[in-house]
Amino acid sequence: MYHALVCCRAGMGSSMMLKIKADQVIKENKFPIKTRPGNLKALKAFTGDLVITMNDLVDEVEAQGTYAVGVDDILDTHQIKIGLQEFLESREAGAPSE
Amino acid sequence: MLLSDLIAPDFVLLDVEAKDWRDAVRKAAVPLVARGKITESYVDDIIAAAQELGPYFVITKGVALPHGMPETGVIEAVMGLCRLAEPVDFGSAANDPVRYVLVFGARDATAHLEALTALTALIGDADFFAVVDGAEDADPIIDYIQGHEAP
Repeated sequence: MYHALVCCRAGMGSSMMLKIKADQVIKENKFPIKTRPGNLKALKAFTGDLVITMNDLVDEVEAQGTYAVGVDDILDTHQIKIGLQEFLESREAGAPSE
Repeated sequence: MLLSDLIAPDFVLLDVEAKDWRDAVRKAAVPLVARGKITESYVDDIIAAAQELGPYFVITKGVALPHGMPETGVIEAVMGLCRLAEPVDFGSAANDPVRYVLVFGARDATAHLEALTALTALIGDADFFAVVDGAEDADPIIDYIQGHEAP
């Protein structure tokens, strides 16, 4: 099981909404990913496998050395699904997370 | 707490004229500040954060959910709904222009999971926005929210 932090820039409102949509995608596709919501403080302390976030935060997450799945629109479940699939493929292939 | 517990008829503003995104956020927040749900500093902090970081709260096509760090001034969980007279650009390449501004504040999102689940469903519901677009006052909007949230 992979551990994902769902994180947005401020507060927890949109993080929680993005988590709700990501969990829908994970459940529908039976992806082996468990999510929890967080803020920027939680991001700095995060040692799990990937971060699901809005696209504007992706560079910062990657700079921290954590795999990032970015979305433009929290309702875009297709984009979330593609991003999570790419993450899982990178892990299966044994590729280092970038 | 249900989503309909966070919104009151006075928090619904229709056909607000806004000269830019800052004006839209400030005007949408006015009744929430007036009723003591959030402070002016919460609104200032949201605007300052977006100036620095970009429009992080424009979460889907046409919808802004301005919210910030609760410690900057959320007194009680709340949501407003402001329908702009004319759409306004917030600087979001993916989701501009914004027509609806939903100022949101909660001290603990985990405690408001039910409300946020209902809100996530609503902003993906074209029928909800048809009701918002056709509304002449807050009543049909609040009725729709009450009718579409888990009991």
